[in-house]
Amino acid sequence: MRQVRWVGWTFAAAAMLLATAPSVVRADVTSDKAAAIVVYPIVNVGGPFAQDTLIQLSNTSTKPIEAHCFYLNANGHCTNNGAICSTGAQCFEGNSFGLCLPGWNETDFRVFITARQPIAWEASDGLSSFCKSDALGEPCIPIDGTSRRGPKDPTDPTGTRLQSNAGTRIPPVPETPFIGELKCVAISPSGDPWPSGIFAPDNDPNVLKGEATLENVAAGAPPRVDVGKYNAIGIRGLSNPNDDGIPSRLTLSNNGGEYEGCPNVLVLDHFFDSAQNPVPGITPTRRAFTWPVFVPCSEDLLKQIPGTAIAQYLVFNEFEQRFSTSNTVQCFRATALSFTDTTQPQNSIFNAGITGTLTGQTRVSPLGSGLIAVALEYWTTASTTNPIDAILDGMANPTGEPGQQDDVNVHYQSSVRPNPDIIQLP
Amino acid sequence: MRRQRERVGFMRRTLAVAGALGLLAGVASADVTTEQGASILVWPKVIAAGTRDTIIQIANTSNMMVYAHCFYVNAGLADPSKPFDPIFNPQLWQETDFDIALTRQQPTVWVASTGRKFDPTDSPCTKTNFSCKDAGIDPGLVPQTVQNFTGELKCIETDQFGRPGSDAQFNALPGNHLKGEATLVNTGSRNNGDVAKYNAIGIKADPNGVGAVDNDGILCLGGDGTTAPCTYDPGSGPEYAACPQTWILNHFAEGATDPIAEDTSATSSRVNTELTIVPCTENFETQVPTPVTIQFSVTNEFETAFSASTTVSCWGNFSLQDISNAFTREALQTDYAQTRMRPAGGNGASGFLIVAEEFHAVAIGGSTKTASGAFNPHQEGDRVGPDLITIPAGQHGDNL
Repeated sequence: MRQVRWVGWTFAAAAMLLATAPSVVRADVTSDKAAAIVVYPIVNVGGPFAQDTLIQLSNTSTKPIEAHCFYLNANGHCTNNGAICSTGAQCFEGNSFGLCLPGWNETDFRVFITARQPIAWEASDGLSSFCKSDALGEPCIPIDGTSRRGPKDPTDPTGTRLQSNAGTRIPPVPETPFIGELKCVAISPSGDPWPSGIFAPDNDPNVLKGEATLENVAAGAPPRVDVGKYNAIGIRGLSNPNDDGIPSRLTLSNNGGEYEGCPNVLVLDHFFDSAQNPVPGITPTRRAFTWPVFVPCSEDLLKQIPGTAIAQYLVFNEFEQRFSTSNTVQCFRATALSFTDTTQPQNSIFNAGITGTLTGQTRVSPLGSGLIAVALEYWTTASTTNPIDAILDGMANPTGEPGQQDDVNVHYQSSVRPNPDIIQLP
Repeated sequence: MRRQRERVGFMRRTLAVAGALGLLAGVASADVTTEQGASILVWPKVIAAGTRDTIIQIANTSNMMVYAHCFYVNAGLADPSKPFDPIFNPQLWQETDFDIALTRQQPTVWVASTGRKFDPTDSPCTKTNFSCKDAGIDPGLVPQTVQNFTGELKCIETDQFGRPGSDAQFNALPGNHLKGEATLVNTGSRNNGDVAKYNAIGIKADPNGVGAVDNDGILCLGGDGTTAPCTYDPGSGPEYAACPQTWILNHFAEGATDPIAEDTSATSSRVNTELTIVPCTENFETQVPTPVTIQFSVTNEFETAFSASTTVSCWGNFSLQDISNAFTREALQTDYAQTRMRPAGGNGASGFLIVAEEFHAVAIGGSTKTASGAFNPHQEGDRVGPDLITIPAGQHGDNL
């Protein structure tokens, strides 16, 4: 009899797990709610994706907030002359050859944002001076605290302090061209992030939201204006965190962490590379190329050690046929889909001519560090299967219509990751 | 009798295990989502009119067959060639419904203006032919939209008979398997090929994990269980997640210059933001649109606050300056603002869903070019009062 009861419990547990496993909802990273950490996976100045990037960051709460922000420069540099590079061929100078070493350098700064205030800056310029009262139209830091003041600070027990942006100075990106990531962490008045810091008066650190606009504007025949926009990815502080007592160490895990965990699976619906735009009336015809941009969740900003993940791709076309591949993401990866599995994109499992359909669903599972991502979808008039030719053609096409991009946030599907991700602040 | 006792015992043990796993009421993220699978998908902005068309993408994120009942809602004018008039040229609210089926992990795509026919002989793409529209397992017959269509698309996950809540054996339908995107494409002679993409808004089913969705044809979004017909027992939960209480939008002041364009040889530039809004409550049975009044609270960079309001019935698409001059650069005196939007009228009113699109018009090289980027605003909080989506009789498996 006892044996039968155990069998019953076992079946009940198994049935519950089976019934709920596909649709268990977990707190995950988010791109549509305010959060304590916001990540802009791609900031680009000087191409190839954008001439410049407009960063928008705002405080959704009624209390002032400090954001400790980090530019993470993912440019490669030549070993022989230090020039910015993306391939070794760019490091040939005179009679010397150099290697193109990938880099990962952080530059940090602080932004003080008042209640419900929006702030924006161009990545190439930053914001360095406060607004003069009569200087409309010039990018500037809005409230200096002397000539212009904000509302009363609800975190001030005396009730006399007024909110301002004093203490804010946003540098431009450290070099041009620049490609990399921006990350901002909400800091409490005591100078610590969640959960070590107290975010009075409501103790809610999830107050930051952001957007990035990648833009190209160029004169030409015809001229080019191209805009793509995505939401910064938010990592929310848990309401019941397990504080490890180390303020500079941020633990991302739904299971005993301080912030929500990174997803176990990223899901991307995309056009396969070279797929032709199916909308009638597009002249000339356009082909799609998708560049997913991955950044690792784990990052050691103190020792400048980037996170590393093995990204496993599972690809389904519209025939439900399945393909797979994998690659490594270290620090930052912006690679066209059809360069994911090969150096010959016309033979890639992400090429429409190989998969046979216009669109696919790709599921990315990271091993090692977690990953977060956005997708850049690029439509080119060039008759090519090579994504780099497509991008370059869009940048400098003297006779045809330039390409156009749109950016979109990827979806997530999650269960608890086996290991937490760690962001170590300097 | 013995078999009945065994079944009851099994259920009790199942509930006990579920309780231990913390899967009963109170543990869920109950909001709508733009980045996770859901059981109701809403594409608020679908345009197949004039110089724009829309590519719809939808995918099944699960390892099982998924069905969906979809509605196109046309909110265009009775005569699109004439201006709006509430009596002589009113806004329509016409729905066209169809069914789709997606195999496991299957993505599919169609263009709003052309739909997707059911034809298993469609040629796949090859190394020399990248134009393979409709190649793949067809999800079903997707109708083309009417001419001059401006409106929304909504898809609701069901079983193969159209039941959104449970199958014939009254087993709860595990849902939240759909994800979607829309790509707005410019087909006019100016700005031809410009694209803007947004994620479909997902409303999760059964946020408390208690098998709450029934098959009465009235989908209850949120609510505290005390308002008919969306009542539920304590310990249970709403059928679907609640619509957001507040939407938050970071945006340019209307008419502000584009700072990146101003750094080039452009002679002038201008940025405008367009909002597309649909009510959460929709009655496809009576085809009577639901009005929702929206309150806007605007904060500029200097912390100065402004306010505005507007009413949307069925579907609304307008630029911020169409709502109020408070959004203009002249009024705001700064280039950027944060706007919080919420439905007025208390818990009995409808909530709403929204997407935004930002247009950058730049005069450069002797001509003016416009490009746009679409994005999903942020959400905050859940509405207390339920929103209702009413499916017409005979379309939710009630005739079986």
